[in-house]
Amino acid sequence: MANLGRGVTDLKLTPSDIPLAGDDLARFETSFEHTKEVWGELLEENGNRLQKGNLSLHWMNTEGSAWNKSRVKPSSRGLTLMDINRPDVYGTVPKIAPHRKFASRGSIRDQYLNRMPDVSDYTIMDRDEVWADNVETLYEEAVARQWKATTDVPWDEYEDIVKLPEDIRLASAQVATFLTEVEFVAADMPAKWLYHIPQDFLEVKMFMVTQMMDEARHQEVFRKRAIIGGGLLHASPGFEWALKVILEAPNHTMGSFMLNLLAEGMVLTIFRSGEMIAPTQLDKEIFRLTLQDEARHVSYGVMQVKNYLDKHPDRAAATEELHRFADIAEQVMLTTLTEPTVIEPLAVLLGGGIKYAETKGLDGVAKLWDMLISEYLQRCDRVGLDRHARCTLPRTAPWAA
Amino acid sequence: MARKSGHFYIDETCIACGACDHACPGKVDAIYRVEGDFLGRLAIRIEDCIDCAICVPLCPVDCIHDGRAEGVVEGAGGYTKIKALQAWADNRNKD
Amino acid sequence: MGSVATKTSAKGAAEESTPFPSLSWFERLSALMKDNLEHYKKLGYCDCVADFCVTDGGPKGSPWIARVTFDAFEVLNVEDVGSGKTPTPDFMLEGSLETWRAMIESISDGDGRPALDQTINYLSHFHAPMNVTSDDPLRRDLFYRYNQSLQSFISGSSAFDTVFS
Repeated sequence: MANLGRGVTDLKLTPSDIPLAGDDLARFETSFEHTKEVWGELLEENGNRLQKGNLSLHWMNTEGSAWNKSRVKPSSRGLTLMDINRPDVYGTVPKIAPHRKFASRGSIRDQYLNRMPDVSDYTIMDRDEVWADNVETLYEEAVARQWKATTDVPWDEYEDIVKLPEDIRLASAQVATFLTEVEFVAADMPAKWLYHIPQDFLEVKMFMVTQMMDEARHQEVFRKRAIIGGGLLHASPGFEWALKVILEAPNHTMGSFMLNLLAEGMVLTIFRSGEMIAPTQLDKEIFRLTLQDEARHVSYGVMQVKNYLDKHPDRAAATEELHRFADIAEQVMLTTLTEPTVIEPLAVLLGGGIKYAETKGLDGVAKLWDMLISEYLQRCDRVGLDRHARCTLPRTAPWAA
Repeated sequence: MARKSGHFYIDETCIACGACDHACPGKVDAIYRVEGDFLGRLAIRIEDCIDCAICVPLCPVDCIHDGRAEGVVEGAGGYTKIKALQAWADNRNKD
Repeated sequence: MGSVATKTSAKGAAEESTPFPSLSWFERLSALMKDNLEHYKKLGYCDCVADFCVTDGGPKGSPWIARVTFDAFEVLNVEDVGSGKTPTPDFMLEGSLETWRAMIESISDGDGRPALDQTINYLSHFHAPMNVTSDDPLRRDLFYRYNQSLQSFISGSSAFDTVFS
């Protein structure tokens, strides 16, 4: 009978007659070649046991676990993360992640550490670079409030959009177009960092996944709105610079500040103003549904940045770093706030038509501008970053100054 | 004997993220969304609230208050400017 | 063999029994699916053409097959396809009358929740006593993709009495 384990250990990578399409596979093979002693040993051990028809049953040994010691019960909402995190053994999130494995917090894992691979891309080992005290409840809220863009929006009323005056129709389609341009960055950014967060901070990873799902749905709903209303319109070059900064922020907290606190915060302000902007009931429903998703993202961002500063061993230095990042972030955000593809359709919608865009419309946008900046500064205050003196964004709209 | 009411309330600057809702202990479940509110804001049923205050530190905009300690305050931590836009919108077509 | 009623369910006490296998049995399930739209919306779309086969349910022990066309959250059509017809369905769930009967009685006993070993997935998992067949593995996978909806559809039989011929 062949020895299962030796088959791996003795594995020789044979050159193929057919040349490889690229060198990715060759690099992977070389890299994995260096690790095969460990997993080959595991396979040999397990394979030999199975070939003899034996069972290990070591997994029935509960020593070192909280087996039967931590009974949890569902609450009236069901079995929530808060319910299962009540016992310390499951709910204590370590300040520093103890390792870079996949094994779950609270499982029996320490004795296997030398037999499990390290995921070297798990680099965010300090909880306070990603943690927020409300992340568990926000996750539960996110899961409870998922909605479907396909059926939860009254699309059967789409003729109300088609009947709109052309200028209003174009403006609402342009708003939807720029929202399709910005929404996915709020999926790309958590996706970028998610992979660097070790499993011990699972609640954060889970929340980030809900944020990505939310943004997929927002991409979907605004794309559908634009297309059913006539079509997608123009890209917004000014916005793209802010999106680039979000993705290229030097660390997760700065990215979170830029995305969740500044950008998502401003999008939330626009959605909250949907009552005044939306030209149809259908549009109002979209704003109503999306604003609650955005509010969760802002909520996480605010509490995460706050936690980062509160727990930082050198708060003054961390605060100054964040200020310097915010100096740039605000300027690229100003690039977006002056973008005609954003400001002008909002003026048309708030003014009630192109005829009133430069008068009533810009007056309304100036009110919106005031909201955007003051609410941003409120969020900064909440995290403990006083931007009042340093904020480089004009407090009032340029035309209203 | 009637149970005592709680003392916590959510001011109008709530951003509707819902972090407090799921923090409220399951059996208590005193936090609810205000029906029909476009902004989806939350409120506390004081007759159900047990004054545990678990929700307070989870709020990103500090809009949950203890009426005993703070009295009824004008919301300042959350979003305060939407009223101005609403007032403007109500009047925009009157000119 | 005479007709034997299943254990009477509370909901079906005053109603006429429905024979199995029969088109009317699947039509009752279809009507129940329509009545429970919200439940099926929660489960998700179910878009497939399924043949439900009682391998010895036809004349002289021949196969009897009902073809059910599911569309989103409802059934568009139920038809008797005898011993099969083209085009082929997405998949066919087949089992003997005895197997179907045990499953339907279990569903009735559990008031809509079959015993752990009487779900359509359990019964077909090792290809016996039920089996899922298809011309195409991707189309067969629809049985798994929509499994919760399909189980719910069959479990609707707890709402009325079934008689077996």
